[in-house]
Amino acid sequence: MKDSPLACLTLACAALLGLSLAAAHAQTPEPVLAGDLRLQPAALNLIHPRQPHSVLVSGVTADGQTLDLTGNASYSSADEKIAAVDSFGWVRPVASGKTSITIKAAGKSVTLPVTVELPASAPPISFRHEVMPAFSKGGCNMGACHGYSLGKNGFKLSLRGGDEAADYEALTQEFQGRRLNRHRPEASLLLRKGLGESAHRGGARMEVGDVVHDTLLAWIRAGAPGDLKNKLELVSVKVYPEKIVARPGQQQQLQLLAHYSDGSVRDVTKFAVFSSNADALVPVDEAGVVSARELGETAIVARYERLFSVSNVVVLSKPVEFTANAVPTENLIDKYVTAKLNDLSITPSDLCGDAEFLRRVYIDLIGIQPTPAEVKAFMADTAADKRVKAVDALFARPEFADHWALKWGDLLQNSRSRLSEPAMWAFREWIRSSVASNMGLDEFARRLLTSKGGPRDDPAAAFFLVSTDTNDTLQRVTQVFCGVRMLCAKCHAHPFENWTQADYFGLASFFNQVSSKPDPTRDAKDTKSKLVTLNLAAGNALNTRTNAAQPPRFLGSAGDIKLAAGEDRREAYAKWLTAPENPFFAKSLTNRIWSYFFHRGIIDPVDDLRSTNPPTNPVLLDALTKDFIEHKFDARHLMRTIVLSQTYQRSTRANRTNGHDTLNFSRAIPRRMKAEVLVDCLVQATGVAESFPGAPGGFRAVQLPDGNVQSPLLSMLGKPMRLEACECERSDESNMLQALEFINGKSILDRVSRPGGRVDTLLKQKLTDAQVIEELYWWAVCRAPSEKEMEKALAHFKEYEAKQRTEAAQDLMWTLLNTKDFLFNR
Amino acid sequence: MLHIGNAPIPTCGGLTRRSFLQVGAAGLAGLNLPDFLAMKAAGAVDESKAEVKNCIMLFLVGSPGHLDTWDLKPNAPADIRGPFKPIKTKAPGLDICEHLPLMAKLADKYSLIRSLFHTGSAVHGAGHQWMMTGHGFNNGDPHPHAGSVIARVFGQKSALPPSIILPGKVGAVGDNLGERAQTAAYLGTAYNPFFLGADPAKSDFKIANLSPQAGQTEFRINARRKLLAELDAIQQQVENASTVAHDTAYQRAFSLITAPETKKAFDLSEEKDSVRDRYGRNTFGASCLLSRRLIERGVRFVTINHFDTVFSIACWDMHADGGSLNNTVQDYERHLLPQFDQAYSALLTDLDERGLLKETVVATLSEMGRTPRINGKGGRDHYPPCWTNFLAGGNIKGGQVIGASDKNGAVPHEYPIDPPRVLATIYQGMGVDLDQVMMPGPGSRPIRLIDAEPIPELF
Amino acid sequence: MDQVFEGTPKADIRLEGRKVIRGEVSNDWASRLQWKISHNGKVVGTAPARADLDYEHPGTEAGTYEIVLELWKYEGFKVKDHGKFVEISNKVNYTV
Repeated sequence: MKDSPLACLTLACAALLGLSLAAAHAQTPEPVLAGDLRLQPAALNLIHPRQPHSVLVSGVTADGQTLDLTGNASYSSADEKIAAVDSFGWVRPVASGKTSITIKAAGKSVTLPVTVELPASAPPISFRHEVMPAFSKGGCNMGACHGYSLGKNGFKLSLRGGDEAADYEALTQEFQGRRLNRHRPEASLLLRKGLGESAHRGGARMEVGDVVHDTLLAWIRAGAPGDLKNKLELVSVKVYPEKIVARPGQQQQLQLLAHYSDGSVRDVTKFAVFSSNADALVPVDEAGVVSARELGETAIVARYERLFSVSNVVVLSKPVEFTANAVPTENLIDKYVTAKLNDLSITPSDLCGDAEFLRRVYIDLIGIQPTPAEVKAFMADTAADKRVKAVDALFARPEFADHWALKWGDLLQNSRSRLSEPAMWAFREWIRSSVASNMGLDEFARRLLTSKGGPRDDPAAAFFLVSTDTNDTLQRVTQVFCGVRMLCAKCHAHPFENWTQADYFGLASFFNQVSSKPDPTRDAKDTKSKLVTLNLAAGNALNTRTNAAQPPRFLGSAGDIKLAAGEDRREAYAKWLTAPENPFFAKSLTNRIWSYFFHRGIIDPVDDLRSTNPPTNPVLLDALTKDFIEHKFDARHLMRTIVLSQTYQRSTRANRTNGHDTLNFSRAIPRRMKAEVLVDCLVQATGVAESFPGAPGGFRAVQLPDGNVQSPLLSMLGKPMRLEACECERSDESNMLQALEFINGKSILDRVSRPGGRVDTLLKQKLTDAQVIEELYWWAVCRAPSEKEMEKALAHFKEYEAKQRTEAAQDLMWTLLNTKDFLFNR
Repeated sequence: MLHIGNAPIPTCGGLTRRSFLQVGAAGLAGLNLPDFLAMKAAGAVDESKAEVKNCIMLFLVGSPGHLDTWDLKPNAPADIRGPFKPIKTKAPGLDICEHLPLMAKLADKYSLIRSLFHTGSAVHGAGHQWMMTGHGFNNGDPHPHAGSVIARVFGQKSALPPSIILPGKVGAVGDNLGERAQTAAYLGTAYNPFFLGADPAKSDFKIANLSPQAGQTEFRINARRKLLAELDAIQQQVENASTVAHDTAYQRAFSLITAPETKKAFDLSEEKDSVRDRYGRNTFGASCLLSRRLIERGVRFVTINHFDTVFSIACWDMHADGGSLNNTVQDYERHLLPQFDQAYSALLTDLDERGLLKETVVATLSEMGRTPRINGKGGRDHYPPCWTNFLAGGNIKGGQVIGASDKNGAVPHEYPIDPPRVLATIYQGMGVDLDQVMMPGPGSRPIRLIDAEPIPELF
Repeated sequence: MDQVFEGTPKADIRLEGRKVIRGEVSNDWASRLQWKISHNGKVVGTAPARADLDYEHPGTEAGTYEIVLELWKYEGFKVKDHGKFVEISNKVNYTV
């Protein structure tokens, strides 16, 4: 599965290289700053008696390093009758007026002006804006606890506070109202359980005196008021600092500010839930203190209620001797990759050799490795632009169409387990010819999303016939064409993105006019032959939370849209989706296509775009996306830009500066060949075919039309069954069962010993041992053996008796096909 | 140095942060096997240390009639109660069939669930799906076998695969649904069970892909392995997650093929004759004995399919139809009940004597029950509305009866239990905290291992 | 795959008064084990033998009682009754 936060690996690789990072952890003495102390924010305006505000204090050293001084600074208020400040820098309003806070750190001093404007009387405690966030902070409403769909121990809260009315009722009405004790608020079951004083499987979730306990107690003391009709809405949250550049051992306090519909801003740091996308590298604690532990980069996600904000963290080593590399301008990829690498003091690896390049680009573009003749001709070519010529020739090969039709077949889930055989074949041919004619991907998406009828008149309609229902359709559409996973938002607000059920059912409303009916011309037994039909009179989808019809709503747009009655709503969706300004379509496809040529996407996983999963190189992705749109969504243009970049053509060998880097494309990272390509390469190398039940004889694995092919070998190697629209369904991982098959099963042993196969044919040609070895190298790994390899291989032949030469050759071929050199695209 | 255990898990329920290392770092959704292996290679985590108990799942393919085995109704009319009589056991109130005398002596070790039911169709494969995976999905998208779930979440403990099915896959049962219950489904083929594919009751059984293929001498195998190491070493490049995963896979496969311990694990001749007799010299008994050897050597989950088909074989599928399903109460009395009685009691006793029973859940399951009313030919037919299965070992308390059927064994009379709860109970019996451990579900969305509550009375 | 049974089961039995005592069964197929009791050469009954190692036949009629251990032999699905009982021990007898 491609689905992995590879950020974690940086550490593992560093460890493999024997780098010791532990030494960097020691605390430094009082730092020397180059300039003044900096404050976030620079001034405070406090308007609510129960809402203190924090301040972040930082400074910059002479060598440009930013230090967080929030925890080391001293704070004093000029007038404690107006605003008080604690030793952590939290400023609490006392009475209206103006004053200032003096902050001292690293031998410097700075003043924070404070204005306090309190209302005449304290506003009543808000259930929505104070109590519910306390439950989130205490973890009470998380999925493992009372937010579980079945609740826990008879007490259910809405998941992460998605439903205030239900929560208010659960707290005040259920269980005969015994959760709250209005006469002795301290004795409320809610508090006693939460403190762990009364038996509570979830343990102690708060302490007396912390914000969670204080808030809940104050609320019960006030009579547990509800404010479900409160018009105040949370609009956005923002975390500070937005970007952290730190060295191992440094820490940084985060601050999260919430912006409300009335224009007010509240410091919600104490109610925020922090998490790191790479906890091993850069953990963050409950209070929002980020610790830079190991080299690498990741994002810290801060959540308040259902909104998120992300702070990007880069952990760099102390500056080493590094000369910035010249930033190339001819290829936009190289321009942005090199710029980022310079920021990180990384020099990219050298370019790979010709044989290596040709094999890599063959496998990636057309899904088969080059034959010995093709490699030899390429190496003999002396033209300066021979890599360009070779790439352009590959686009014209029929294998190119086969290879990318396979990819799209996966994503669009073409399979006879859901479609009739004719529909499956027609869909496959439609996809293949779209690839062959280089249809723009905007047009491709439009044709799919507005298709109707059956395989005879509109093969693309199979797209809808694959879906089990409207939910399935909307999830597939968003995952494939927007790179967004919406499933979570069906039952509750999405846990990592600002999607709600209104967004989910708003999307459903674009597609709930679609249904299918049996093809009237079909054989009675053939239950899968169907036609896509449209019921233009269909109403909007039902939002299961509000039980009201949800008008169509584009992903990421604030409100509903109005469409004329009787209109095919898919047209509006397709138009929105493929518009150049669409924030998802081009970006997600660019990123997805990128990932097919590297070990990861710029955003990874590629079909999980969300604000909490930021790209490793945003300017690169933006520039490439813009270029893709300007070239009319031309996939070949994008692929060509990629494979002709130096970034794609890097060697797999690391240099002194980039051994730890796996996120910034500073070297090529070997990828195991995908199932179909691996089998086809195995067949080409050994000259022994593989047959696939359910496909015409002579079909290569890459040409297989659908996911329902009974090939134990392919499924063992991770060919997806096309049950999901997720890239993660395909697995390119090695595992022990595959290794067992390759080592001791028939897939390779039979192929190397088959009469008429490669080994047998070569042995019949009266070649010397060295010649046989060389030929086997060309066929298996597309290059000549090195001197050392030849030496080992000859020694291998010597170990066998003369009459066992056949076995020696078979065993060499077996060995070559089991090397990483063969199994991986390098 | 590295605290994978604190890595947050993105789930529908939000981020949870707990010490996962104790229950298996590989279980971290979002932390994939390659990452995990890379970390393992870096000495950061040790998969083999993932603490979870083992499980042996005895699957009584064909479905024993509950009224003839573990839920007798001596007071029901003759056409319901059948010919067998109940006997008292070591546990008060837990009476079982007279033809299970050895099991009766061990009743403090296991607990019966007499109110099981599923709502799927009355075919074997539907029951395999419900009881092996906790889900009924028919021909829809499959769910993983419990052994694959454990393999995915907790990883491999020794040279042996984490989940093994003995002696083979359940195949022809009149539908193809059961085969679909014996895969890793969305967890990925890496976590598919390893099928023995051989009968351990045979003195000289061979396991495909573990035993050398025809024409492959030890000399050649060694020569190839040596050459592979040499050639890979020449091309040595910077390792990354995929290559480390690859190397680990090859290392494991080679050690499985060549290590003497592997051969030993499967070699029943190492057991004393008296032990082999205790388990019974038959396919099921030998499988039970082998399961103990495998658990001792680090396999986390062993499934024993009592039969691989229901056709033309004496099995639990007691239709008495006179044709390919001609099994009768006589077969129960002479063949099936004694065979099960002996193997089961030998297994529990042996595990207990070795201190392994508290480390190993032994779950005896079937697809369904059989009709309360005896059919015209003296048999009983398929019946998912009510049946009895039983659990022992691990954290599970023995000597109890959970739920009850009505007077004719026709419906759960009290405390109905559906298959997901049995799976949840098995996982909890293995020490899995179901509120904390997640696995990557369809589309890699983190999901609970099973969406059901364990049976609290068993803990 | 059908069931595999290898080896030939065997057990020794002896008398202590009228009580017959069996040893463990070697090569035990683990199918139904029963005492077969004959009186004056005619089979008068069987009794289960798995749970306990000894057995005393309640018959008091005068004559010679002969006792032997029987084990069910599964022979295959196509065979009538799927198999038959086979004697696996020595015979012991006593006279009343």
